[in-house]
Amino acid sequence: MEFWNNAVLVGALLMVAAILASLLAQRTGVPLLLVFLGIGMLAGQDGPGGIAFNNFDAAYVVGTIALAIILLDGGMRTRTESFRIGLRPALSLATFGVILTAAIVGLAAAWLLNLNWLQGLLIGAIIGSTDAAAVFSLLHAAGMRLKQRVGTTLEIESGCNDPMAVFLTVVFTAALGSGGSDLDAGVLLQFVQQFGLGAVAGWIGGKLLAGLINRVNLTTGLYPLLAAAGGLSIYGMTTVAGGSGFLAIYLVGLVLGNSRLHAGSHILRVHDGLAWLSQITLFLMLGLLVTPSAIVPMWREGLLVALVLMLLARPAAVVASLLPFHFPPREQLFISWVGLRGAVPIVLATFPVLGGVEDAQLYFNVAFFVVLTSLLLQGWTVAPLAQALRLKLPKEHAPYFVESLEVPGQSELKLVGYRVASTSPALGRLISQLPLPAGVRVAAAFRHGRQMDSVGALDIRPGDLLYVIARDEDVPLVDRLLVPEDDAEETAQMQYFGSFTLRGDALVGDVADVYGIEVPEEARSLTLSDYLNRTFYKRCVIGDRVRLGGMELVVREIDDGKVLKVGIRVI
Amino acid sequence: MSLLSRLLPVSNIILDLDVTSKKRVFEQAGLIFENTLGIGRSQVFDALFARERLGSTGLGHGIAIPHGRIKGLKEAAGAFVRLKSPIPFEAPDGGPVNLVFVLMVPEKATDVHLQILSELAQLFSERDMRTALTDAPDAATAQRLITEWEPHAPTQRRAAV
Repeated sequence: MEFWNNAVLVGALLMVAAILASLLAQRTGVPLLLVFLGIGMLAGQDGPGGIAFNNFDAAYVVGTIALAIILLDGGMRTRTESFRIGLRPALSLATFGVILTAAIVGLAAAWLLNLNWLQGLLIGAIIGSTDAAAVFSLLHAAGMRLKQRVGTTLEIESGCNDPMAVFLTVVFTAALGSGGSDLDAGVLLQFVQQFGLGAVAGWIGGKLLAGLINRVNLTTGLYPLLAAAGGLSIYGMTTVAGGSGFLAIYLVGLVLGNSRLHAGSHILRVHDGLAWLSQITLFLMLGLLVTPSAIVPMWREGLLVALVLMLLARPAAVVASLLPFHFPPREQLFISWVGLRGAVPIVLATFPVLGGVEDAQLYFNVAFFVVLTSLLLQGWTVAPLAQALRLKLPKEHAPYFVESLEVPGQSELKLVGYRVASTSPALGRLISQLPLPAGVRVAAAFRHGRQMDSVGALDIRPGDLLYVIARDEDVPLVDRLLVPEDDAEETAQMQYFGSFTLRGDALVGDVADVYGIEVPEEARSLTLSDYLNRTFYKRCVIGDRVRLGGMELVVREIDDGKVLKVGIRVI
Repeated sequence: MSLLSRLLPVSNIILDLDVTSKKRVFEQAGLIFENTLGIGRSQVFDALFARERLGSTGLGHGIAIPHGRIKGLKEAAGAFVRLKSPIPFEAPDGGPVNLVFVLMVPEKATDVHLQILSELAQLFSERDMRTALTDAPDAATAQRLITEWEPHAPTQRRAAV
C-alpha cells in the first residue's frame, strides 16, 4: 500500500513538473520531448531522484499503448485532402526509405561496434523510423505552418513508418534470439501479413468504429473514450492476428478524423489531451528506464551511429525514396534533417531485452543515444531551418475562437468568435451592413460582457465580441472582414508572397508582355496554373516559387490542385 | 533616397477626384500623362487594362497601384489620384479603393522598374503614410510625403513588386 501511494505521489509530481516545464520549452525553444526525457532522467537512477526503474515489461506495455494513442491522434489530424500531395512520397519513405536507412545504419553500426551484420541490422531497424510523436509535436508547434508538400509528407511518413521498423526489429530479434545469425524465408510472407492485415483491419475497423460512434447515444464525455478504446481494441485485435497494430490504429484515426462524427470536435479536443498525456508518460518513463551511467561510456560509438544516421543514411534514403516525385532540393534537404527519432526506437529497443537477445542492453543504449542526439541536434534546429529554407509559411489572420457546430444533415458549420480591435476593418459599420457571404449569420454580440439584443442594428465598436455561424469555406472571408489588421503579419506576408497578385488563369505570355520578360515560346500559351503545376510535377503547393525574369512567381492560393492566385515578388 | 523621389511632379497629382469606377480612374490617368508627357491617353488606358486583366492591382487597405509599359516613354513616371469616395477594385481584401498610384514605365523594362513597384508597395504598406495621404490638404503635401519617403531597411527593398 505504502509503496503504491508513494508511486502515485511521485508519478503525479513528475507529471506536474513536465507540464510546467513545457513553458520553459516554449520560451527557450528546447524540444519539448527532450525536456520530458530530461525530467525522467533527473528523477531516475543516476539523477537526484534516484528512482530505480528497470521494468522492461511495464515499459513495453505502457510504451506501446502510448504510441498507439499518439498515432490515433496523429491520424485524426491528417486530412485526406492532403493525400494528393503527400501520400505516395510518404509511403515510399515509410517503406523503401526505412529499409534503406536501416541497411545503411546497420552496416555502419556492425563495422563501428564490431558486431556481426545481423546484430548491426537490428540496430538499424530499431532506429529506422521517424517518430510520430516528435514530428507531430514539432510540426504542430504554435505558429509553425510548413509548406504543404513538406509538412504532409513528413506527417504521413511518421504515421506510417513505424510498422516497417517494428517489423524489421521483430524479424531480426527473432533471428538473433533463436541463436541463429541468418534470416529464414518466411520473412517475406510475414511482411505481407503485417502490412496487409494492418491496412485492412485499420480501414474496416475505422469505418465500423465511426459507424458505432454515430449510432449510439451516449453522454458527450464518453464519445472520445469510445474512440480511444475502440482504436486500441482494433490495435489489439490486429496485433493478436499477426498484423501491424500501429498501422491499423493510424488508419483508424485517419478514417475517424475524416468522417463526420457525432461530437467530432469534442473527440478531437479530448484526444489532443490524451496524446499529450501519452507523450509525457512515454518520455518520462523512458527517461526513468535508461541508466545514464551505462550510456556515457558508449558515447563515442553512439555518436558515430547517430551521425551516420543523420548525415548519411537518412539523406540517402530521402533522396532515393523521393526520386520519382521530383521534390525541390531544399525540400529534400529539410525532410532529410527532420528525420527525428523519438520514442519508437526506445520502445523497439526493449524488444531485444524482452526477447532475451545477447547484449540486449547494448542495443538499448545505442538507440537511446541516437534518440538523444537526434532530439538535441535536429529537434532544436527544425524551426530555424524551415525559416532559412523559406518553407515556413507566414502566419494567417485567425479568429480567436472556432468551434464545429453539430447540426444533423448540415455540411461543415462553424461557430467563429471574433474580438473587434481598434484597427478592425469592420469598425463603425452596422452588423446588418457587413458584406457577409450568403448563409453567414452573426448569431450573437457582446459588449462590456453583456449580450446585445438587436444584433443587426449594432454599430461595431472596439472590444465587441461577435459570434458568427458560417460554412467552413466562408470562414476566411469573414476573417478578412473582422480580424484586426496586424502590421507585422502583413509585412511578413508581403515579404513571402510579394504585394501584387495575378490570377491563376492568366496566360504566361500576357504576364511576360506586361513586365517585359523573356519566356520560352512554348510556355506563352500556358496559364500560370498549368505552368506552375508543370514546374512542380502536378504537386504544386502554396509557397512554391519559380523565377521569371527579375521576379519570382509565388503560389498564393490553391484549390484542388488548381492555382487560383499567384504573388509577384521582386528578387 | 528612394527611387520614388523623381517620379512624381506635382502636376501629376489629383486630389478628391469624383469618379465611380476603375475605368474612369484609368481614363483620368490617361489624361494626366497625355498632358504632362505627351503620350496618347488610349495607350495609357490600354496598358493599364492589360495588366488589370491578369489580376487586380489593388493591394488592400484602399490602395491600388495600376501599372503598365508604354512605348516611347523615356523614364518611369507616376501619377497619384485620391478619390472622393472609394470605388470597387476587386482588391484581395475585398475592400474599396481610395488611393491610386499609377506607374508607367518605358517599354524596355529593367529590374529598376520592378524595384520602383516594390518601393511603392512598401510605402503604401505603412499605416501612417496611408493616413497622411488620406488627410493631405493639397497636392504639394501629398507630393512631399511620397517623394521624401525613405525605405527603412535595405532588406525590405526586396519586399515585393
